[in-house]
Amino acid sequence: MNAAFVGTTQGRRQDLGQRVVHALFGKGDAALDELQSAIVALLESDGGLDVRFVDDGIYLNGQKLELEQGEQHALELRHRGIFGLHAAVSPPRSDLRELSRLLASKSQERVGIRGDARRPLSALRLRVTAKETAADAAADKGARLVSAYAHAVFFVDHTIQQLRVAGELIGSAAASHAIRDLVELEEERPRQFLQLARVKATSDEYWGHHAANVAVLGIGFGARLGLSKARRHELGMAALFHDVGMAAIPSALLERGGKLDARAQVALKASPLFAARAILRDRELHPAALERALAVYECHLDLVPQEGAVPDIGLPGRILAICESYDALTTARPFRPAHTHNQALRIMTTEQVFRFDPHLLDLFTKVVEPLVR
Amino acid sequence: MGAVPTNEAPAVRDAVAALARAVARGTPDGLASSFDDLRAILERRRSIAIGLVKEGLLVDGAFVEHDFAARLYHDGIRTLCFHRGLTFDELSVFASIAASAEDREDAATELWKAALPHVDFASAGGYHMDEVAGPFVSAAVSDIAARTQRVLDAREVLEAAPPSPLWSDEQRALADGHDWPRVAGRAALCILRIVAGDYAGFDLEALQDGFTWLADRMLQRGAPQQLAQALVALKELPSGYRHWMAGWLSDPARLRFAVGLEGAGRLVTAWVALLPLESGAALVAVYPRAQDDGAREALARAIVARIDTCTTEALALFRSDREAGPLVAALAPLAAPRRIEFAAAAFENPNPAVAAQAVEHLARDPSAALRVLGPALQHESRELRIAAAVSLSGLPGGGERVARFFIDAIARPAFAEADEEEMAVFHRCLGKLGSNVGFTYLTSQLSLPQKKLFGRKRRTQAQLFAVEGLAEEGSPRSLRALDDAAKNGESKLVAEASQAAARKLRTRKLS
Repeated sequence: MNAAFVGTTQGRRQDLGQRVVHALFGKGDAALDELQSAIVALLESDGGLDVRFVDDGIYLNGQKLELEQGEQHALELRHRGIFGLHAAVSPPRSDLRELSRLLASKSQERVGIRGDARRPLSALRLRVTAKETAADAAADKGARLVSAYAHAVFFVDHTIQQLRVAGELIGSAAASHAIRDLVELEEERPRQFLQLARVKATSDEYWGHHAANVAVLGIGFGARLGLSKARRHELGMAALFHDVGMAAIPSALLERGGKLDARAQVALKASPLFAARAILRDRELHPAALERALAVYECHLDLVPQEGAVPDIGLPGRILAICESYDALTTARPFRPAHTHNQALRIMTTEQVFRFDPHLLDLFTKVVEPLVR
Repeated sequence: MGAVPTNEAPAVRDAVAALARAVARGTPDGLASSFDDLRAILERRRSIAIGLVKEGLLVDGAFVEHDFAARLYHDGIRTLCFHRGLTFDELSVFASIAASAEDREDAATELWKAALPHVDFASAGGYHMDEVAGPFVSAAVSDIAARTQRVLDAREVLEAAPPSPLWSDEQRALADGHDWPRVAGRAALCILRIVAGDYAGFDLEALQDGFTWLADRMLQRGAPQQLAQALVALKELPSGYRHWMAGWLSDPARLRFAVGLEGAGRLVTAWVALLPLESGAALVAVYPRAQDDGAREALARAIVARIDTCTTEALALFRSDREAGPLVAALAPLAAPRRIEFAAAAFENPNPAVAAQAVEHLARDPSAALRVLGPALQHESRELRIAAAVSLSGLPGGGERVARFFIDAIARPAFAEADEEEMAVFHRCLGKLGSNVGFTYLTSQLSLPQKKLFGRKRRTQAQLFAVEGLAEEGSPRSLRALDDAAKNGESKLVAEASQAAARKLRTRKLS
């Protein structure tokens, strides 16, 4: 059995596997419902879905399923060039419907890793060769990239939501895992990785996307600066937390258009401290958490303040300040449209120049060149 | 994994069990021995894979019951693999991560960051956010993932050559120093900003614990300047906000450690400023541990400010600690009776330099001066004798009694062994008193009877010192005595010295 899939007992996996296979070859909405529910259960327990159609039957997450027609189904699909399927996140309904159609199709036309190129699968990936190929590996990594990013977005949105109601938070280890994956995937496919920063939110989930985008930009920027893997991980983690202080501010206030009133301004000014608080309140502090807390606080400080002493801001804070501002400016908000890449950089190098380390800002423009168009 | 000889499995299990015991016990010897076993096995096979389950380990297909991997399993690690080439340093890093969660992130992240070349691990699949967030995670993540995929699909991106680095190693090292003391200091200030701004809310207690944790680390890891800065900022908070640190600050072991640090002056100053008045005895107790004058001066000021709460302990310290100089220096703001009391104790200090410092305080009080400094003119320490002499010569009133102390001291046989400078000081100080007793003694020295060959030199020397004493008195009677000596002196040397002294006195009077 694959070492990564150890969350489910063999009996339960057998049961879920039977349900998946039955639904895969079933028809109608009920079968789709059953498929979706079984996949979700597997994702929750095993953390992934990996179905293989091999000579002696069907394997689910490394475990051979005891099925009446397992070998026959496997043979048929292999004959049609489908050797398996996998997903790192729960596939949307459209994927399941398309998968069902592909499996039921009598067409002899070969499918690709993402199924029918005219209607590509979103979260599901097919294995189209008997042995794992570079394309499979790439598809797997692509799916992992999307999954890590999506989980990062979810983590931040959920954290802010729970902080508002003093609810239970997802442990930072889960976010740390997603950031580890993002750092590794950035190393392997830096250009595609950076494109994640183009994913923009609709207004109700702004903070999650914004934080994940800042993580993407921060990790990418850190990689170009040659920072260590651990340091890039810190950048990513700090990015996820950098705006959780917004939880202390009523949503209505944040979405308000026009000029903020005095109360809103005071609340906004305090939000970096609230974000730092969300990290520093952990009773099991460690050096990396300190760096994180400082970065989330310091990335909101002006490098050259209008009054008072020049603050001592660490490198992570300086990097995140730039990434944070760039993503915020290039995202549409209820009170203003999104700025273009060039507009954003112009604002950062003129109106906001006092906020940033000029040397880093200069380098950052090179990092985000691939996002120009 | 490499081919495993069938008879190898028990040895592998034993080696892994030994490693588990070494990690649990945290003994370097145990780890070294277990490393030898693992290395020997890795010479015969390429790798050793270990599965982690809730109750123990799976090694070569057999279950080994041990809680060794509890932290690793809890943090999502499901397999470990040691490869040929494993070094002891790598195993040590691994063992420290596996052994304790203190000051560490989750074990998976720690191992990942450590990037040990010959230690692999695999985590449980997925991010397991649903355990807290509930079953709707899948739907929410799926929706985000679908939109993300659409954005990525909209552009075809080719991964050509990796993007060029923007910094050289030197630039990076310069910009990203990883200065732990600086980070800790800023984090401590950040916590205080949260508390001071009243933003702590229901996390106040946790933040206070965090500050305490940081303060301990700054103490242990040699960041006294940053800790001092944090304590200064803590002092700025209203007292109600900083009571939580009272216990930490008053802890004798911590305080003892802090004062023993090199360059702890600033830290001790900030620390003691936060201590209550009744902490005097604790400060007295740690004073001997101080390593430098900065710390001693800070402690001394604090002890003197609390002197009424620790009189007995402080008196003993003034009396016995050879480094009590800063304590004596700190006495200045005290009112006379207390100042004299402690100066008198310091005067008994075995370090003459400390006792000499006390003289200055004692001399301000005539009765203490007579009582303590008079006898001190015969003290065994030259430094102290001179300090006492100088102080007594400036004492207002009581000149006759003081002069007798001087004459007794000069007359004692041991004084003949004193160096010329000390003799001169004593005679000048005696003259300066302007006492009748002193004048009589000095003039009597000028008219000492002639000596034979062996006593002549000593007599001349005594007369020359008497000339210096009379010159110091500077009165009409001493001028006359000098004139007489200049005219009638039997020794040419004494006559010339008397003449010069008289001339000098007259010049001084005219000017």
